[in-house]
Amino acid sequence: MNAQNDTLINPNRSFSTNLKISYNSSLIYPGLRIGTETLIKRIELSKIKKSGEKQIFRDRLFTTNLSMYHHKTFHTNIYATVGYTFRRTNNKGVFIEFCPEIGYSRTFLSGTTYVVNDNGNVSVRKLAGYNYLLASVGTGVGYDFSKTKSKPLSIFCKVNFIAMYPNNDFLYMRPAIELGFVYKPHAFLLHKAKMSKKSKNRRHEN
Amino acid sequence: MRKNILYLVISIFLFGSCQNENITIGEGVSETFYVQNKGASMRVLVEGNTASKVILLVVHGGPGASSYVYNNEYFSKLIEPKYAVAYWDQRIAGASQGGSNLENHKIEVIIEDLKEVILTLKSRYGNDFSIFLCGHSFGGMPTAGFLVEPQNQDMVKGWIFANASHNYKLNDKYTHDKLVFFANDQINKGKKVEEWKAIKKFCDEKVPPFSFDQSFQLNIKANQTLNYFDEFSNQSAINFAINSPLRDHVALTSAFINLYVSQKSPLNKQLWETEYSSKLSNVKIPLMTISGYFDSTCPTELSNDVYLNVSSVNKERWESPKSGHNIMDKGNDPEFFCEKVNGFIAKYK
Repeated sequence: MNAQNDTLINPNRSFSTNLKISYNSSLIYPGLRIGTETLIKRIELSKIKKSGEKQIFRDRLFTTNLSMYHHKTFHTNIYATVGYTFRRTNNKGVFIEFCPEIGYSRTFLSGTTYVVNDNGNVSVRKLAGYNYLLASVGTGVGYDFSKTKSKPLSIFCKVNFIAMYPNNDFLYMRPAIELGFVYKPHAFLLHKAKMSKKSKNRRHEN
Repeated sequence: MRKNILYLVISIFLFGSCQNENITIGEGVSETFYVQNKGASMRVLVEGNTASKVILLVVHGGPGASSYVYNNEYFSKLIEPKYAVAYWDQRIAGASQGGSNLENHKIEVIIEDLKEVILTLKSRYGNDFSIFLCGHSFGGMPTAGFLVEPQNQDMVKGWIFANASHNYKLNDKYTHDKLVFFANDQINKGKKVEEWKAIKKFCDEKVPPFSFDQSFQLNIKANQTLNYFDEFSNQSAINFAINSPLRDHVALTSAFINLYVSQKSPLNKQLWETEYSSKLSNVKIPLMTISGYFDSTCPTELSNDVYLNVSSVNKERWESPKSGHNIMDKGNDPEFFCEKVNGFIAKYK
């Protein structure tokens, strides 16, 4: 049988906003992603097992991202998103995360774009492309060096699925792979987060 | 924040350079541009020998298939060294992009798009370039619709009608006849008997005049039978999957999504109600029809309808004895196709 205790901890503690940068490859097509992560809520979960105490951090983060990729002969896509990340980190620093995001995308066609007027004259249209509403969901794994080596850095690998609307009256979808770093500055855009601690003790009843 | 703005400015500068106009006259050319019309930006890839001052404009099938599948090793090795080939992705096909534009997915707009692609090719490369249209499968519809207007014929030098259709209801009749013929023939030969019995049963249950749904089913069955013959192999999808995605920077998800949207489009109903047989006598430019004996999707009889009804003085018709619907694909008869295309262009350029 399990028993659970909830405690609010350090209500006045401030956290720095994290900065992240990643290679944002839409499979083989290169891109870049930069952004911030703001901790909104952290639950420190202590599990006491026979093997000892295990600590798990359940973080909820608000993210802002500016991303791009370039698909040769197709388009270059620049998109800005905000997201809410669910991250679970164990006491060894390994984390998994799930990140839904929503935002705005602007594409630019990868090629000179022509328009023909009613008289049959052909001219070049500059910066041709489309505006889209963009949604993405991503899932990834990473390693947080601050948990074991006190280094303010994480590395991660994430797979995102991007959907853009309206594309030919439907959706445009594509996968994107992210490989990157999260840097945790000492004090950058400090903010408060809701902190709580939970513990689960295993009791044996005969 | 400053970093973000700087990054955005650099990016705009970088991709802006991708949209610079680069026009190459020479051999081994490969350049992509887009033509924008009525809510769609349509990709055009020009490859091959632009110094020849001849462009073969491929009008792909579908609707909603893409031009990627035509850019195979046979086009590259047998046609492109002699002439340039323009691979055009029609609206809602391949790498073509757009917003809310399904209301423009109509045959008359696709014909207008075709005209604008030709005008753009001439504007880019020169008015002295000779353009030949090659309509495959559904591509027969926009090419026929374009060419039955006499004033449009001055823009092109010749029309290649390859396993194509210009009249869906007539197409249904010939498809039905051909399926019955092949079913009887193959059952008598003891080849894939169970599969052909199912085709025969399907055909026996459908009698003309065919409804729109029956027309759609006939098309599916005809495509299915391409896998039932020993005389050729239907490798287009496999060949495309192995060779094209990286080489051609294929926008894979775009191509699949556009195909899906096109198949659900009201255009299909409109096409079923459209025919160009009655206007073919307006066509006076050189014509070549080329078809495959084993093609039930767009049978040779359909090509013959075009051949017999145009007013062209210069016309020729060919049938490959070992090809299905995709004559230009590996496993069908691509060498035969390329040889006839090159010969036709050489005569009338």
